[in-house]
Amino acid sequence: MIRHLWPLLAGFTLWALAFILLYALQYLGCYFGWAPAAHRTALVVGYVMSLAALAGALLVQLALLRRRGSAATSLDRIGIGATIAALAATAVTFGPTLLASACI
Amino acid sequence: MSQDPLSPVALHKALTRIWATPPGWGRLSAVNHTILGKRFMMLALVFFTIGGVLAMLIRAQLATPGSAFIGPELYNQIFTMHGTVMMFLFAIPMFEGLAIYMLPKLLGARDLAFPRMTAYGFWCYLFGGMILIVAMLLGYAPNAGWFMYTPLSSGTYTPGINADVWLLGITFVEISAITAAVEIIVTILKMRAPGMSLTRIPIFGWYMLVTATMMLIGFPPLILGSILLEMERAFDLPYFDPTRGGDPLLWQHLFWLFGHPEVYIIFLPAAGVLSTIIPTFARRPLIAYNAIIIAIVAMAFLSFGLWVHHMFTVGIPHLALAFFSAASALVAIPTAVQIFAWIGTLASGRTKFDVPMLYVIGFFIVFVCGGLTGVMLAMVPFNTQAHDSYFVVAHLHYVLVGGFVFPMLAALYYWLPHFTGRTSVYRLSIPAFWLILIGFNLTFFLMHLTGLMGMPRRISTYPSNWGWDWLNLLSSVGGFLMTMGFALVLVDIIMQFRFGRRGAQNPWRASTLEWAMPTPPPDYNFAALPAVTQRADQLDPDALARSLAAGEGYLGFARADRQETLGVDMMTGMPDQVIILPQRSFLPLWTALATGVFFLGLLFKVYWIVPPAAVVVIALFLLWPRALGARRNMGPIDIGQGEAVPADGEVEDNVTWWASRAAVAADATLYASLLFGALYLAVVAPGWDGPAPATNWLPAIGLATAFGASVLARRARRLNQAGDSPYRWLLGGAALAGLTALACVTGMVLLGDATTHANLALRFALYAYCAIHAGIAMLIMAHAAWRWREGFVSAVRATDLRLSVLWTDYAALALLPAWALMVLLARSGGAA
Repeated sequence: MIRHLWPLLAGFTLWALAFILLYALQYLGCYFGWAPAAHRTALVVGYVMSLAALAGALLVQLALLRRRGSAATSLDRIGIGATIAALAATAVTFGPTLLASACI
Repeated sequence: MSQDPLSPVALHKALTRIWATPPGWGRLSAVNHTILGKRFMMLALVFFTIGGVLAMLIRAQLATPGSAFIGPELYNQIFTMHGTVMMFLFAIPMFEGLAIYMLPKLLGARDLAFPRMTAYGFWCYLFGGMILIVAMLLGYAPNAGWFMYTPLSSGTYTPGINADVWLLGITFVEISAITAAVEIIVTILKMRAPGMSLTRIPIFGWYMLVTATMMLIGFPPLILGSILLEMERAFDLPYFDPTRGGDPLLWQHLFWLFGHPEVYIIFLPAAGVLSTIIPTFARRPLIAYNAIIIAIVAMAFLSFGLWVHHMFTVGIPHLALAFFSAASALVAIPTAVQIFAWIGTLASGRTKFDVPMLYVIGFFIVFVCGGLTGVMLAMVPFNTQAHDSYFVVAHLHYVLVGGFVFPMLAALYYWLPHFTGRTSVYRLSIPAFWLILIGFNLTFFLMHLTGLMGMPRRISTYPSNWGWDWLNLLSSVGGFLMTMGFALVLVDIIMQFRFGRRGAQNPWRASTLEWAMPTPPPDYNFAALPAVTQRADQLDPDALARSLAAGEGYLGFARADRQETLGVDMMTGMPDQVIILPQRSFLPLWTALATGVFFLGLLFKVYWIVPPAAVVVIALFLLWPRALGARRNMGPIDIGQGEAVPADGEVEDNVTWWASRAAVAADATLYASLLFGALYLAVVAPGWDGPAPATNWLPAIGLATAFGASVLARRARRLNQAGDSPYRWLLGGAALAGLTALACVTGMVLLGDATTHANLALRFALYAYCAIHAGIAMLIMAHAAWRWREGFVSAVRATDLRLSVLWTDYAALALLPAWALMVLLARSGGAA
């Protein structure tokens, strides 16, 4: 059952994981006193990885949709829409890793 | 073998005899969703009235500067209770009641998945609410704000039982929220009309599925926070005390981790109502059905990523502020998708206007304003300026009244003919609407201005030289106008129940299944369950009503005095089991009463009564399954239409299994919140320094015995599958789980004085959590052994053994991070 719902949930689950990863990176970097350049690099790498993971999930879902052809359900198509929305949300929510000050 | 067909009248009588609730004292044994849904909603309206009276007292006090109408202490109690009553005792139970009443009817089922749990939830709601209201009448109401911020709510600054009333009363009420969430999820996923695939369910079903899942994830952080704060107040364990390694901000994180998703938990059911009502009046299907599902899912996730916008001014680095600010602004987009879908549906249909549509229009006006000020408050610089001012009060009322009260009034007028079987004669609803709309805007629009002029919230009075006087006076006048409107609504409802004329079965010409039954609805909902071949918001209820009443459909007969409904495959909606529901019982009432004694013992610090009360609650719960299950395999059962499926106890994919998984998910969320709290304090708390005592080997011993219990549970299940006796293995597993609990309790005792530092207090909480779960695993395994001996378990009827594996696995897995964290806490210092 749950596997049928994954197309719908995958994108925003990745968004949530990215949130936890980047929020934790931000906090731990400040707690352990990482050098600003290293801290920024870690955050940007985390941001890019999050975007890449979502793009990958989207490509997988598109490939699955093509493979299923007429057997694809509307839930598959809704899932693709949700993943696109999650990709956009990830780009916007975590975009500030590129410029905002991490520990002030 | 098919049943002999009965005439519609004979079928009605036969089904009523099975499903009806007896009169007199027998009403207290009701487990029927129609009755309990109405009770939930009526009680919520009672609490709404109480909350409204409190609001009037607030407005009377603030109408003029320097008012001595009520003093500051009473004012603190009143504004705290107003927020608490409206959020916890009105809004959440109101939509729960609507969902409880409506979901089986919309989905084509005869009841919810766990009728006795519905009744237990209702009694917990009633008793928990009564604790709060009685405390208020006696002058002991909570007085630290509905958000109970520490350190104000800690024992030092709020001695007495006022804050305990909130913490324990609300936790008691939240039992009903968690039980309702589990019920709603399982019912939507498993109990639908045959053929109603997941993509055919009415849109209200999607809204409630997402809302209930959010409740399952959103409520546990608050429950955990309440438990920790009560432990601090009662036993001096310093989770929020910065002088002993705690941090008051941990409370804010736990509260708002619940509190912000809560706003969407309240809004989404109301949006589901709008998505149901608007197509009926637009006389066309809802447009953008798929986009709305995406929007609901997006809102659900995003709502968990913006709780810190309530904490923008506490001192958080810019980057973190930016994450939460961006998420707070983004959530407006899925909201707007729904707004445009509704407007598009109305614009492209042949829209007719009636009373429910008045309130829908009111929703559009008010909610959109609230949404726009929400985007303003999502911006950190503006938020910093407006923080804790009346601008925020105005915003939250625009969102909550616009996003919940107006849609619920629309729902009330839309479904009143369903509840009563009558239509309104007096049309008091129309002047009521105008009074509410004008009164509301007069009250709260002006609060934007007082807020921008600097008036802080939560003050009991103000001087007259700040220019706030006339704005406050007008706000108070508006408040009383709005109250008159609500009073008219109340009179209108009573008039409709008492004097309304008998109306048509489907007065709005709607296309959903709840109208395919007589109104007011019979106890069994449908004499036969329909086969659904298209999206379930595009049906013809009038034609269906006639054929279903004649028993033409699935389960169109009364059999063996059993309350039967169908379970389906979650995705396809094809029937895969007959669910035999438990009948009326006083057990939920007794269990809730015993639960109430447990909470009252904690509240009045009569601790000797708490353990026996807990034992009674557990014993009563163990009595519940006595009437469930069969002592022999029934095999496929006739469901009509030439089809036969097994009973629910004989399939793996049954509702009990799914409810247990949902319960574990909620439980794991609470545990994750505890782990987050421990890490948060270790990293952030200001007084976390100095060496800490090392951890001992007790967690490792507990881990070994817990995994041993898990292995034995699996072995028992395999033996049972092969037709051999699992009895001794289950008892052995129960013994090992008991040893695990003992190891954890010993660990708690050996910790020493856990009141000295949060480091030790956290370990105490981790041990307690693991001990309780090992105890649960022990009870479930012992109970499964008893059920096997009594003949309720076989190779086919194996749910008890699967539950044993689930809970022993969870108890063992919970010990892993607990041990790791204890090692970390021992190394992190902080308990010198």
